[in-house]
Amino acid sequence: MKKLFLAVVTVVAFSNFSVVADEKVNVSFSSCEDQAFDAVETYYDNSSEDNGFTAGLIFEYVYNRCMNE
Amino acid sequence: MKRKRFFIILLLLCLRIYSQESFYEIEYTINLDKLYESAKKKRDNGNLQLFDITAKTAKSISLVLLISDNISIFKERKGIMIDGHEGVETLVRAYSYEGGWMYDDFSKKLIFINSYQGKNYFVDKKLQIRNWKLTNETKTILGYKCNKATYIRTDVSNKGNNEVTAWYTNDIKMPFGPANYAGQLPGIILELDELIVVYKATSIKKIGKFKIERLKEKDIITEKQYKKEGDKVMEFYKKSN
Repeated sequence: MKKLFLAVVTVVAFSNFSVVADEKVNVSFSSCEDQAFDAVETYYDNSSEDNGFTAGLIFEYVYNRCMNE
Repeated sequence: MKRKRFFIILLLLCLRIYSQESFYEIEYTINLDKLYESAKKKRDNGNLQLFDITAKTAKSISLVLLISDNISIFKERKGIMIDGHEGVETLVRAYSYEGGWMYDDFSKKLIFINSYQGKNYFVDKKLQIRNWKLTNETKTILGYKCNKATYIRTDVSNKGNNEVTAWYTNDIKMPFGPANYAGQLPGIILELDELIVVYKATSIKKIGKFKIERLKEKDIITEKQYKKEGDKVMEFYKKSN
Protein backbone atom coordinates (compact mmCIF):
# COMPACT_ATOMS: atom_id res chain seq x y z
CA MET A 1 0.00 0.00 0.00
CA LYS A 2 2.81 2.32 1.06
CA LYS A 3 4.70 1.45 -2.15
CA LEU A 4 1.63 2.15 -4.27
CA PHE A 5 1.16 5.53 -2.58
CA LEU A 6 4.79 6.46 -3.24
CA ALA A 7 4.49 5.39 -6.87
CA VAL A 8 1.35 7.56 -7.35
CA VAL A 9 3.01 10.56 -5.66
CA THR A 10 6.10 10.13 -7.84
CA VAL A 11 4.07 9.91 -11.06
CA VAL A 12 1.96 12.96 -10.11
CA ALA A 13 5.07 14.92 -9.09
CA PHE A 14 6.89 14.11 -12.32
CA SER A 15 3.86 14.86 -14.50
CA ASN A 16 3.46 18.26 -12.72
CA PHE A 17 7.17 18.92 -13.11
CA SER A 18 7.03 18.29 -16.85
CA VAL A 19 4.04 20.67 -17.22
CA VAL A 20 5.93 23.37 -15.29
CA ALA A 21 9.05 22.71 -17.36
CA ASP A 22 7.09 22.89 -20.64
CA GLU A 23 5.48 26.16 -19.57
CA LYS A 24 8.83 27.56 -18.56
CA VAL A 25 10.37 26.66 -21.93
CA ASN A 26 7.40 28.20 -23.78
CA VAL A 27 7.52 31.43 -21.78
CA SER A 28 11.28 31.67 -22.17
CA PHE A 29 11.11 30.98 -25.92
CA SER A 30 8.47 33.63 -26.48
CA SER A 31 10.13 36.31 -24.33
CA CYS A 32 13.52 35.71 -25.98
CA GLU A 33 11.89 36.13 -29.37
CA ASP A 34 10.24 39.37 -28.23
CA GLN A 35 13.51 40.61 -26.79
CA ALA A 36 15.32 39.89 -30.06
CA PHE A 37 12.65 41.64 -32.13
CA ASP A 38 12.74 44.64 -29.76
CA ALA A 39 16.51 44.83 -30.32
CA VAL A 40 15.96 44.73 -34.10
CA GLU A 41 13.34 47.46 -33.80
CA THR A 42 15.85 49.62 -31.93
CA TYR A 43 18.23 49.19 -34.88
CA TYR A 44 15.58 50.30 -37.41
CA ASP A 45 14.54 53.23 -35.19
CA ASN A 46 18.07 54.55 -35.12
CA SER A 47 19.52 53.71 -38.51
CA SER A 48 19.36 55.25 -41.93
CA GLU A 49 20.54 51.92 -43.34
CA ASP A 50 18.10 49.10 -44.12
CA ASN A 51 20.50 46.20 -43.70
CA GLY A 52 18.94 42.75 -43.32
CA PHE A 53 22.34 41.24 -42.47
CA THR A 54 22.72 43.62 -39.50
CA ALA A 55 19.13 43.06 -38.38
CA GLY A 56 19.69 39.29 -38.68
CA LEU A 57 22.91 39.45 -36.66
CA ILE A 58 21.20 41.45 -33.91
CA PHE A 59 18.31 38.98 -33.79
CA GLU A 60 20.62 35.95 -33.72
CA TYR A 61 22.89 37.37 -31.03
CA VAL A 62 20.16 38.65 -28.68
CA TYR A 63 18.00 35.53 -29.09
CA ASN A 64 20.84 33.05 -28.49
CA ARG A 65 22.17 35.01 -25.55
CA CYS A 66 18.71 35.18 -23.97
CA MET A 67 18.14 31.43 -24.47
CA ASN A 68 21.51 30.58 -22.91
CA GLU A 69 20.95 32.71 -19.80
CA MET B 1 55.52 78.65 -75.09
CA LYS B 2 58.54 77.78 -72.92
CA ARG B 3 57.13 79.84 -70.07
CA LYS B 4 53.79 78.05 -70.38
CA ARG B 5 55.50 74.65 -70.22
CA PHE B 6 57.49 75.81 -67.16
CA PHE B 7 54.32 76.79 -65.33
CA ILE B 8 52.65 73.50 -66.17
CA ILE B 9 55.66 71.57 -64.79
CA LEU B 10 55.70 73.82 -61.71
CA LEU B 11 51.98 73.20 -61.18
CA LEU B 12 52.44 69.44 -61.48
CA LEU B 13 55.32 69.57 -58.98
CA CYS B 14 53.18 71.55 -56.53
CA LEU B 15 50.37 69.04 -56.89
CA ARG B 16 52.80 66.20 -56.26
CA ILE B 17 54.19 67.88 -53.13
CA TYR B 18 50.64 68.56 -51.93
CA SER B 19 49.56 64.98 -52.52
CA GLN B 20 52.61 63.64 -50.63
CA GLU B 21 51.32 65.41 -47.54
CA SER B 22 47.85 63.88 -47.74
CA PHE B 23 48.34 60.74 -45.70
CA TYR B 24 46.57 60.62 -42.37
CA GLU B 25 45.60 58.19 -39.65
CA ILE B 26 42.77 59.43 -37.46
CA GLU B 27 41.65 57.43 -34.49
CA TYR B 28 38.08 57.62 -33.17
CA THR B 29 36.32 56.41 -30.04
CA ILE B 30 32.71 55.41 -30.06
CA ASN B 31 30.03 56.18 -27.48
CA LEU B 32 26.76 54.23 -27.40
CA ASP B 33 25.40 55.43 -24.04
CA LYS B 34 22.27 56.67 -25.78
CA LEU B 35 21.45 53.09 -26.84
CA TYR B 36 20.70 52.27 -23.20
CA GLU B 37 18.67 55.49 -22.86
CA SER B 38 16.65 54.60 -25.96
CA ALA B 39 15.72 51.18 -24.51
CA LYS B 40 14.75 52.86 -21.24
CA LYS B 41 12.54 55.32 -23.11
CA LYS B 42 10.88 52.50 -25.04
CA ARG B 43 10.48 50.48 -21.83
CA ASP B 44 12.37 47.67 -23.52
CA ASN B 45 13.30 46.18 -20.14
CA GLY B 46 14.44 42.89 -21.67
CA ASN B 47 17.35 44.60 -23.42
CA LEU B 48 18.31 47.17 -20.76
CA GLN B 49 21.11 45.10 -19.22
CA LEU B 50 22.40 43.95 -22.60
CA PHE B 51 22.48 47.50 -24.00
CA ASP B 52 24.31 48.66 -20.86
CA ILE B 53 26.99 46.02 -21.53
CA THR B 54 27.03 47.01 -25.22
CA ALA B 55 27.62 50.67 -24.30
CA LYS B 56 30.44 49.69 -21.93
CA THR B 57 32.02 47.46 -24.58
CA ALA B 58 31.82 50.28 -27.14
CA LYS B 59 34.19 52.35 -24.98
CA SER B 60 36.95 49.78 -25.50
CA ILE B 61 36.65 49.71 -29.28
CA SER B 62 38.90 51.91 -31.34
CA LEU B 63 38.17 52.88 -34.93
CA VAL B 64 40.52 54.29 -37.50
CA LEU B 65 40.14 56.47 -40.59
CA LEU B 66 43.04 56.00 -42.99
CA ILE B 67 43.47 58.58 -45.74
CA SER B 68 45.69 58.14 -48.75
CA ASP B 69 45.28 61.05 -51.16
CA ASN B 70 41.77 60.76 -52.59
CA ILE B 71 40.77 57.55 -50.85
CA SER B 72 39.76 56.86 -47.27
CA ILE B 73 38.94 53.69 -45.40
CA PHE B 74 37.13 53.60 -42.06
CA LYS B 75 37.50 50.41 -40.06
CA GLU B 76 37.89 49.01 -36.58
CA ARG B 77 41.01 48.20 -34.67
CA LYS B 78 40.72 45.14 -32.48
CA GLY B 79 38.55 45.86 -29.46
CA ILE B 80 39.08 44.67 -25.92
CA MET B 81 36.15 42.65 -24.66
CA ILE B 82 34.68 42.65 -21.16
CA ASP B 83 35.35 39.24 -19.58
CA GLY B 84 32.47 36.82 -20.01
CA HIS B 85 30.71 38.92 -22.63
CA GLU B 86 32.69 38.04 -25.75
CA GLY B 87 30.68 38.73 -28.83
CA VAL B 88 28.99 41.94 -27.65
CA GLU B 89 31.14 43.75 -30.21
CA THR B 90 28.65 42.34 -32.76
CA LEU B 91 26.04 44.64 -31.25
CA VAL B 92 28.41 47.62 -30.99
CA ARG B 93 29.10 47.29 -34.72
CA ALA B 94 25.44 46.69 -35.60
CA TYR B 95 24.18 49.78 -33.80
CA SER B 96 26.84 52.10 -35.19
CA TYR B 97 29.18 51.80 -38.22
CA GLU B 98 27.92 48.29 -39.27
CA GLY B 99 31.12 47.43 -41.17
CA GLY B 100 34.00 49.04 -43.07
CA TRP B 101 33.58 52.07 -45.33
CA MET B 102 35.73 53.04 -48.28
CA TYR B 103 35.37 56.34 -50.11
CA ASP B 104 37.03 57.39 -53.34
CA ASP B 105 36.73 61.15 -53.69
CA PHE B 106 38.00 61.00 -57.27
CA SER B 107 35.13 58.83 -58.52
CA LYS B 108 32.79 59.90 -55.65
CA LYS B 109 32.20 56.25 -54.88
CA LEU B 110 31.21 55.08 -51.37
CA ILE B 111 31.66 51.37 -50.74
CA PHE B 112 30.32 49.51 -47.71
CA ILE B 113 32.37 46.48 -46.68
CA ASN B 114 30.75 43.67 -44.72
CA SER B 115 31.24 39.98 -44.18
CA TYR B 116 28.65 37.39 -43.25
CA GLN B 117 29.35 33.70 -42.65
CA GLY B 118 32.77 33.99 -44.28
CA LYS B 119 31.56 35.78 -47.40
CA ASN B 120 32.75 39.34 -48.12
CA TYR B 121 30.41 41.93 -49.55
CA PHE B 122 31.53 45.16 -51.24
CA VAL B 123 28.47 47.31 -51.79
CA ASP B 124 28.18 50.41 -53.96
CA LYS B 125 26.26 52.77 -51.69
CA LYS B 126 25.65 55.53 -54.26
CA LEU B 127 26.85 58.64 -52.45
CA GLN B 128 23.98 60.86 -51.36
CA ILE B 129 24.86 64.40 -50.41
CA ARG B 130 22.79 65.27 -47.37
CA ASN B 131 21.14 68.60 -46.92
CA TRP B 132 23.66 70.02 -44.43
CA LYS B 133 23.14 73.31 -42.68
CA LEU B 134 26.56 74.90 -42.12
CA THR B 135 26.75 77.13 -39.07
CA ASN B 136 29.26 79.66 -37.72
CA GLU B 137 29.46 77.85 -34.39
CA THR B 138 33.00 76.65 -33.68
CA LYS B 139 34.95 74.58 -31.17
CA THR B 140 38.47 73.21 -31.00
CA ILE B 141 39.11 69.47 -31.23
CA LEU B 142 42.68 68.18 -30.84
CA GLY B 143 43.98 71.67 -31.66
CA TYR B 144 41.93 71.96 -34.87
CA LYS B 145 39.28 74.64 -35.21
CA CYS B 146 36.02 72.90 -36.13
CA ASN B 147 32.75 74.21 -37.53
CA LYS B 148 29.35 72.79 -36.70
CA ALA B 149 27.06 71.40 -39.40
CA THR B 150 23.67 69.76 -38.93
CA TYR B 151 21.14 67.91 -41.01
CA ILE B 152 17.84 66.16 -40.38
CA ARG B 153 18.00 62.43 -40.95
CA THR B 154 15.05 60.19 -41.68
CA ASP B 155 15.45 56.71 -40.24
CA VAL B 156 14.31 53.39 -41.66
CA SER B 157 11.31 53.06 -39.34
CA ASN B 158 10.41 56.66 -40.21
CA LYS B 159 9.27 57.35 -36.67
CA GLY B 160 10.49 60.91 -36.83
CA ASN B 161 13.25 63.14 -38.07
CA ASN B 162 16.44 63.24 -36.12
CA GLU B 163 19.16 65.85 -36.11
CA VAL B 164 22.72 64.75 -36.81
CA THR B 165 25.56 67.06 -35.77
CA ALA B 166 29.03 67.02 -37.33
CA TRP B 167 32.09 69.03 -36.33
CA TYR B 168 34.46 69.32 -39.29
CA THR B 169 37.73 71.15 -39.70
CA ASN B 170 38.67 73.37 -42.61
CA ASP B 171 42.31 73.02 -41.46
CA ILE B 172 42.36 69.66 -43.27
CA LYS B 173 40.33 70.29 -46.37
CA MET B 174 39.45 66.73 -47.23
CA PRO B 175 35.86 65.43 -47.42
CA PHE B 176 36.32 62.39 -45.19
CA GLY B 177 34.72 61.24 -41.95
CA PRO B 178 33.63 58.26 -39.87
CA ALA B 179 31.30 55.50 -41.15
CA ASN B 180 29.19 56.58 -44.14
CA TYR B 181 29.90 60.27 -43.54
CA ALA B 182 32.47 60.62 -46.32
CA GLY B 183 31.99 62.96 -49.25
CA GLN B 184 29.74 65.21 -47.20
CA LEU B 185 31.53 68.24 -45.82
CA PRO B 186 34.50 70.36 -46.99
CA GLY B 187 36.81 69.27 -44.14
CA ILE B 188 37.46 66.14 -42.13
CA ILE B 189 34.74 65.33 -39.56
CA LEU B 190 36.35 65.04 -36.12
CA GLU B 191 33.15 64.58 -34.13
CA LEU B 192 29.83 63.16 -35.21
CA ASP B 193 26.70 62.91 -33.09
CA GLU B 194 24.08 60.63 -34.58
CA LEU B 195 20.97 59.59 -32.73
CA ILE B 196 22.42 56.88 -30.48
CA VAL B 197 26.09 56.93 -31.46
CA VAL B 198 28.82 59.55 -31.04
CA TYR B 199 32.21 59.31 -32.79
CA LYS B 200 35.07 61.41 -31.41
CA ALA B 201 38.55 61.75 -32.90
CA THR B 202 41.20 61.03 -30.29
CA SER B 203 44.33 61.42 -32.41
CA ILE B 204 45.31 62.79 -35.80
CA LYS B 205 48.59 61.63 -37.26
CA LYS B 206 50.24 62.58 -40.52
CA ILE B 207 51.83 59.39 -41.73
CA GLY B 208 54.17 58.21 -44.48
CA LYS B 209 53.01 57.46 -47.98
CA PHE B 210 50.89 54.30 -48.34
CA LYS B 211 48.40 53.04 -50.86
CA ILE B 212 44.80 51.95 -50.44
CA GLU B 213 44.07 49.50 -53.23
CA ARG B 214 40.98 50.35 -55.23
CA LEU B 215 38.46 47.50 -55.40
CA LYS B 216 37.87 45.68 -58.64
CA GLU B 217 34.58 46.57 -60.30
CA LYS B 218 33.67 42.89 -60.66
CA ASP B 219 33.81 42.48 -56.86
CA ILE B 220 31.37 45.32 -56.17
CA ILE B 221 27.65 44.60 -55.95
CA THR B 222 24.74 47.01 -56.09
CA GLU B 223 22.77 48.07 -53.05
CA LYS B 224 19.71 46.31 -54.50
CA GLN B 225 21.59 42.98 -54.76
CA TYR B 226 22.90 43.38 -51.20
CA LYS B 227 19.48 44.24 -49.81
CA LYS B 228 17.97 41.21 -51.52
CA GLU B 229 20.56 38.93 -49.86
CA GLY B 230 20.14 40.68 -46.49
CA ASP B 231 16.36 40.42 -46.57
CA LYS B 232 16.74 36.66 -47.04
CA VAL B 233 18.81 36.52 -43.81
CA MET B 234 16.18 38.40 -41.80
CA GLU B 235 13.37 36.32 -43.33
CA PHE B 236 15.22 33.18 -42.26
CA TYR B 237 15.23 34.33 -38.62
CA LYS B 238 11.59 35.40 -38.77
CA LYS B 239 10.54 31.99 -40.12
CA SER B 240 12.75 29.87 -37.88
CA ASN B 241 11.55 31.46 -34.61
